[in-house]
Amino acid sequence: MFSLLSLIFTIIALQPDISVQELRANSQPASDPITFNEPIDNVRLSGRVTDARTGNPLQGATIYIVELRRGIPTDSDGFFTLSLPTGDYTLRIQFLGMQTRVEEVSLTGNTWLDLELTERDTDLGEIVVEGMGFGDNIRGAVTGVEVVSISDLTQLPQFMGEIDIVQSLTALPGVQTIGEGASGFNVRGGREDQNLVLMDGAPIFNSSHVLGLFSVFNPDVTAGYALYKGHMPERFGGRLSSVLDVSMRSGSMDEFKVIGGVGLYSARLMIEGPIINGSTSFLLSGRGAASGIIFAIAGRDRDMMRISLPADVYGSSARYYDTNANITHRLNNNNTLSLSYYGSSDFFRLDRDFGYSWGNQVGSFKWSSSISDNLFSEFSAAKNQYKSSFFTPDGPDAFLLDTGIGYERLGEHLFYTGLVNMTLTAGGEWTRYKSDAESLSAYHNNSVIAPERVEKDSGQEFAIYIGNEIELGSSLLFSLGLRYSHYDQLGPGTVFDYAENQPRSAGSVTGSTEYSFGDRIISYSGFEPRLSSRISLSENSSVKLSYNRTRQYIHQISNSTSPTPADIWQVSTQHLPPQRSHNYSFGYFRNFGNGEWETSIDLYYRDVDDLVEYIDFADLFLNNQIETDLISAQGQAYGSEFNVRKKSGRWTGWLSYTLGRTFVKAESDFPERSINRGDWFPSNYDQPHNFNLTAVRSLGENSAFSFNFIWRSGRPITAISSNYLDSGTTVPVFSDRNRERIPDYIRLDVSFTIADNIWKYRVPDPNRRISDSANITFYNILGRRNAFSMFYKRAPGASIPSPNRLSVLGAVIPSFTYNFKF
Amino acid sequence: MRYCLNIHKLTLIALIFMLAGVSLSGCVDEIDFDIDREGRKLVVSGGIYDHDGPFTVELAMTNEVITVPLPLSGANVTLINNSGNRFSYLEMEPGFYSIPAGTLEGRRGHTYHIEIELPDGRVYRSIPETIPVFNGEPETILDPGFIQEPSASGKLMDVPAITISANTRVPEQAESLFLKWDVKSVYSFIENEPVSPLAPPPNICYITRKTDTQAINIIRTDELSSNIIVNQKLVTKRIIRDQYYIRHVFEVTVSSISEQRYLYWKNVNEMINQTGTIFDAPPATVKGNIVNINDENDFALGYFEAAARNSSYNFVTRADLPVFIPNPCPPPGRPGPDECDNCLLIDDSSLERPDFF
Repeated sequence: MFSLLSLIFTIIALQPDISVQELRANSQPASDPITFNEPIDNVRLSGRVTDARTGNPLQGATIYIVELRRGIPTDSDGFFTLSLPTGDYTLRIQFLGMQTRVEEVSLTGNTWLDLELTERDTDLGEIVVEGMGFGDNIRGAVTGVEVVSISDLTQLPQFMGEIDIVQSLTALPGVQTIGEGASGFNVRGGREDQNLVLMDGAPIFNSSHVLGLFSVFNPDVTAGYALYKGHMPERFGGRLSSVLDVSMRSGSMDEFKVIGGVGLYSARLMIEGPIINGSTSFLLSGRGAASGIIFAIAGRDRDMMRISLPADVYGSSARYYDTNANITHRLNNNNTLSLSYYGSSDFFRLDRDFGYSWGNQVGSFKWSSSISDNLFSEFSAAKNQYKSSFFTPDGPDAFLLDTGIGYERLGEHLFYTGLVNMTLTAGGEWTRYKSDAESLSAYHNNSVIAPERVEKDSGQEFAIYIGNEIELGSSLLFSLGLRYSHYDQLGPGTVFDYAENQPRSAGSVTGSTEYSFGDRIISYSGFEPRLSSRISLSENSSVKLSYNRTRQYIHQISNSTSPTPADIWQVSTQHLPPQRSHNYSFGYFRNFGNGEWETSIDLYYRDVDDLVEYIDFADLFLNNQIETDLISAQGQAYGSEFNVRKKSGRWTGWLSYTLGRTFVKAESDFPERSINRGDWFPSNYDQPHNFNLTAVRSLGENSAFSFNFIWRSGRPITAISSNYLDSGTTVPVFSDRNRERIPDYIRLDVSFTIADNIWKYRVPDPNRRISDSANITFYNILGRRNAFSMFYKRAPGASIPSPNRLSVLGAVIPSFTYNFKF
Repeated sequence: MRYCLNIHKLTLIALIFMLAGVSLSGCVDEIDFDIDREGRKLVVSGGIYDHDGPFTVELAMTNEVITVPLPLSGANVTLINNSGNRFSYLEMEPGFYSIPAGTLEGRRGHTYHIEIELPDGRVYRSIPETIPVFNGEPETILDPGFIQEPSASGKLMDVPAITISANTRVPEQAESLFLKWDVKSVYSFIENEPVSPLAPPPNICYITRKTDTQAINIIRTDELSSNIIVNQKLVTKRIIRDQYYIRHVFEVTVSSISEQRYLYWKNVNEMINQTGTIFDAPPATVKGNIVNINDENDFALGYFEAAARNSSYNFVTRADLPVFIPNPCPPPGRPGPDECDNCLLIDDSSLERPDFF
């Protein structure tokens, strides 16, 4: 299939560059640009923007035509294409953290430009918080996309001294988390597992360190990210809600560099440089957090620090490390190979009660190729292995439960810019998921736990897609995409049959069928249209609409407040169909003050079928009939996002407000399995109001002060409505699921960045120096005890439990990080 | 080559820290939180065991005002065995119903259920349960020592405590048992000698206490690799000095229960040990085995169980403890607690000496 697509595109691409007039004479109507009513003297200007140092494509760079006051952002592969009248133009090419490049172009025919941007000298010290380039929000076809460079984040408040992508996401409209210490994030009412998180194109199963306090993305190795929360381009699939596409850096081709940082809680170091000057580079980084220090300090100096955490916190432990490695080789001007590795290890233990350990291993290979001036190919291969363990270290039944999942993945993406006013994309991908068996064993020699093993399911997913971005005149832009996905559940496996007139349970099994290795057990497939359009109302305003159909064949089975590292990733089975959603989005965008101020209103609606929900007291571990504890539900999310962004000046930042609701309906033919009698009820992360204000004030000499204020509704909880005694034990009676709500969440963070060199070290070469910076952040400077949750416990001597609030970070968390680069 | 320090930058950093006034504060605290309560739910607690009684059932009804159900009087409660024989409970006090000792003997392998007719006419029936044929044999182990607990100021302190554990042997012929352990303690308290030689001798009271009823110890034996469960820690109890001057006996009872009852306790345990962290399962009301016979969606709270029970005993005296235990009563003639003159003032006290004491 990939070969066929490549061939088709190659045939188109190998046609010599021809003028529009010649194209009009071409008898092939499919490629005739005249059908789009273009002016007769229009020609095509297209090209690619890359990082001069690493060769990486730059997504979200702006190509601005000064004379026409018109521009376009590059796509995720750095490509752009414009239709312009012939003539002389001045192009301004901008990207965050890069020196702006100005090019004079004389357009007499179709023209291709390779544009390389170089880093700004100031690096660590720059004060730029702009998001996408000027006007990109108006011009792009896609609604609900956030493109952020890592340099955007350097001046923002940094939790525990780390620039963190996932933390930064939660300051964006439509993105939220249920609280500190919760893994993952929720986008427009989607669950955590409905986000496709990509590290250089390779999906990541768990993007968190230390239960969500840090993310797996090392800022020194990260170039930036794009979050697609409204429209999901056709090249992405396999998840319902959003795509977080994180681009990692390659090493420098011409000089050695060392970048690092030391903070109160973590340290990191990155080395990069050429292996063969100009053609081969390497990058190696390591990072670790001594977050266990927090627990240790709390235990040793609790009186001094006036901490009154639960006693079990003092015996707790948490730590992580991760490494990134990359080798990039330019075969020639048209071909680049890249080999990357990411490995991580996490450990968390809550006193002697229980603990988790988990780790990612991701290897990926990428071959970027310019087949012709207009046709580009990106072939990728990836392999991922995620393993996790859950353990209870004490008691006669101390146990260790291992689980995991991995995949192999191949993908081919083609990009064609040879047509006037049109950009074609096409490709395909294949992923095979292999779940590890759940394995139970005794934690120590005195444990009486008997070993147990439950085999898990495997499957493969295949998708092809084609997309076309068409510009009709200067006011209409359509992005039309179609994706077709197919999924097979593969053997070995056992499929149980259940009596139709009873709820599914071990007791209602009527028979079973055994499948051998590689047998196809069940298949699902379907089309996924991805449509988006932009209508320019004026130079400074536009409206955008999008509709997406998405399918998800792999599900994180998590019956806790938020995902835990040991959750099972379960592929779709005969009894667990894929989740499907319709996503609608409408946005109005308007800029003021020459693009200095951006405003937008986004409305969204999503409905989900076959959402995975859980019966009360679902038993999900070591369960070879997991379908007996699951219930198929419907989901619904809708809301509106308001955003105001100031992109330049001494004060920059944004203010956003999201009004949104998320509901679930779990109704069964058997009333005892329905949740809340089959009525709609709020999801765990239904937070109707979400307000965020982020601002950065330049202090001169590249220093900055910034703050971040968040206010959001408390999330729903299930509360105790009564208690009774059974054999002397006080047993709680709970309300309907998620009927109550914890108090609102309010937080203010303050940060100072001193980005001009603190220490200056000059060597005889005056052009070479150590540059350094420092960041000081006070997270939650109000010291507010925001409730992560409510739970009930009996005070000593009390007969009934009383409500208690758990604040994961109910205090000011100061951090200091010293960064250096040479 | 030259090093220089940008003094003004470091000064700025120092100032920032000084201005910050950092103070870490608590993370778990009690708060006011009220909700709409649901009323009119029947609550049942009772069971039948492999002995000759008495067998009791407690009935109560939830209400919209307070969080504790109120006793329910005037119900007709009947026990039915697998032969269809019916035994009526008598209401001994509001909400407390009993079949007196000697009326019937609970037998292993026999099946029982109850029917409850409420004063408003609603009728509930329990799903029948069978008293298991096999049960574990416990051995009580006592380990006096110290535990660390935070003081009011938050500082960790060594506190004298006694840890109660058990070794339990599971019959090899039992395929799969569901076991639950409970700990009870009995201590004696002797009143002061009367000053007058003509007065009757001082009473000896026996005070019975359930030990940490929120600690639920359950195991299903098909998950075990051995038929002996060794040194299973059940409860750690602070040593209250008044209770250890004379002998203090601990009773460990192991109950062989049904799988449904096991799952009930497992779910209750999950609910009462919630910590508010992400690891908590979504809370929900635990469903028992009692349902309205005319409306299957109207289930009562609580459970009526059929179980086999075995107990073992062990004791400590003050000589076994790592701390000095003074006489709780002062010498005769000196003022002391009222209990020293009338030990029946102590909660849960009785003059009846238990068989095992």
